Amino acid sequence: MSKVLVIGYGNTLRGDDAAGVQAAELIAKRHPEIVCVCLHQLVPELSEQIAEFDVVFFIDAQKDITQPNVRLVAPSIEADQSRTHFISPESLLALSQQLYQHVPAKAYIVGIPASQFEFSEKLSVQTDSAMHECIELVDRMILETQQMA
Amino acid sequence: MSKTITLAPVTRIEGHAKITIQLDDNNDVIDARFHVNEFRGFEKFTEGRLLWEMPGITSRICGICPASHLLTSAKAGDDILAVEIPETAEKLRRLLTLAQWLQSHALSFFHLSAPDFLLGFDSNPATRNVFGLIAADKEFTKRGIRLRKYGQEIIEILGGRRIHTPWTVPGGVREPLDPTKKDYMLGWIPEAKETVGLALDALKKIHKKYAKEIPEFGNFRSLLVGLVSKDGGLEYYDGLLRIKDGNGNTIADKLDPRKYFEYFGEAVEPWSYLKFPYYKPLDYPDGMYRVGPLARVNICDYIETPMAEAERKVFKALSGNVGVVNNSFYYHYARCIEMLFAVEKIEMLLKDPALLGTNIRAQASVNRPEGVGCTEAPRGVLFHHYKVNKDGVILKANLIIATAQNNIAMNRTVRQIAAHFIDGKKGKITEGILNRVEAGIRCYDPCLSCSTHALGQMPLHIELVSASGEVLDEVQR
Repeated sequence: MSKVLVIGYGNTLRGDDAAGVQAAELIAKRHPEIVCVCLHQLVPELSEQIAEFDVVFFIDAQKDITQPNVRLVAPSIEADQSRTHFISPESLLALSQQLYQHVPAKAYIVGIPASQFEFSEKLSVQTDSAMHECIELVDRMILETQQMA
Repeated sequence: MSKTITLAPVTRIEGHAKITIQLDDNNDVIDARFHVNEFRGFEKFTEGRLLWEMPGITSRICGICPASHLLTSAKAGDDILAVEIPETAEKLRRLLTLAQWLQSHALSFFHLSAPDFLLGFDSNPATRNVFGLIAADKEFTKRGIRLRKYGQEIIEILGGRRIHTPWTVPGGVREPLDPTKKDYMLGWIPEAKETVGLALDALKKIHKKYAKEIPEFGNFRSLLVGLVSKDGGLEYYDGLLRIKDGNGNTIADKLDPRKYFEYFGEAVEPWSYLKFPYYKPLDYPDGMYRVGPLARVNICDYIETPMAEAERKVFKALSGNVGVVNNSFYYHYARCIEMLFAVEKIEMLLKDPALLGTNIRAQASVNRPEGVGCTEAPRGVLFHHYKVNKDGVILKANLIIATAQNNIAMNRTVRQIAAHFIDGKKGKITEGILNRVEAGIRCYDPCLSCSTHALGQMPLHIELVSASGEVLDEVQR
């Protein structure tokens, strides 16, 4: 069976920014057999963990999209933003590749449309709905991955 | 007609940090400002929440130093409950603080600053990052990332999860240490010591390599503020405030951190949402002070662990006759010394039988209407101040963040670097100069998520502006 890693990240005090974390928590309940990690932001040491998996999903709230969005992502140092406390999924994958000589065969960024980032522990109605759509999408992809394996 | 240079970010959030460099009619740098354009509204959000929830809530301000907020919030809660927490709880909290220092300092040194040092300030910006570092020295990079991982693993073991653990609470901690985890944490110690040794060796070579440039990296006299233990040792979790001036004189000592508002004020400037804390007796802006590793290693009389103490003596020798090291570049050196101390002290704590005790929480109800918690976060002294009603509902909260306390000094550093390196007559800044300005900020390792409670991503944007307001050059990361 393919090893699947789900990483949900965002600030759980900033309204819709929590969507990635909440999605990962809900996916973890549906799929106890996979590893789900919830984080405030991506951090470099995740590269070691990522290198141990076959498939990885990065789930994040995004304010520049209007529909749930899933796209394949590849290792890239072009997208490097590691000069701050933030690191991108592309950079993390590149770190896995260069430090541990392995990247998942497939890596996806799952974007959840988000618009409200004020201090709050609640998602907006739209983002909550989009988050559930994303969970269904990821759910299907996990099942397909496992069936193929 | 003056001119300005601005550094600003491309970011998915509204707020960002920006540096503006102002030129005069002769195209000389006359001012430089580090702006933070993100509103800090967190305190208002917490009103109406219960005191016991505050550690869990405030730890979610930041993804890099959540444990510092967790601990400081719990200490404010201890003050309101008027309890002395059990010995085991205090030692576990100390272990958590040190793990926080280790992971945060490792990120700052190995991931953010080492590319400048090992690849060069003027090296190709496309590869002057962690990937360039991997190409140059893969093992060094991997070791740095593993050191950070060690700190994170301790936090995860103690709190049950990697971030935003509500493990620390008013009165103590929720769960004792699982004895089966102790040997695992001890097993990391030799590698961690070796890795910090590699960092120190690399840094000493860098001091020689950049001997001519270092004097321009935020080299000025300021107050230095931090906690020390009752007998003057390096402190990280408790203790009393000590203030030294830029000549090494102790101008205030054994101050009760719970009365911080008597010593420090907060000025505001219309061009930044980040406040400008200052030492009240000297007023604003002369009351400028620095906090964090540079201040801590400068103001303490000794460090209790042998290897770190030996390095502290080497560090202090850099001050010559002045008595304190005033150059902000040496934040990096002080940070490495603190990493060494953290590893040594973690080892000591893990070998202490009291760490495995099960009396971990003092129970009490609200006994005081307000309380202050104070710890040394990786970037400097952190205060949480709460006022509550009789049921422990938060009526008012005030958080004084380390990054904000360095705000005046960060601005002074940017101005010094800009004035030294920028030739305004050319109306342009080279990438190498831009990087030096940013590196000046990186000395302080500012955490803008903490200081503004933003979402986490805050790259920089720099603008060069003429006397008439014309933007001559602009660079974004």
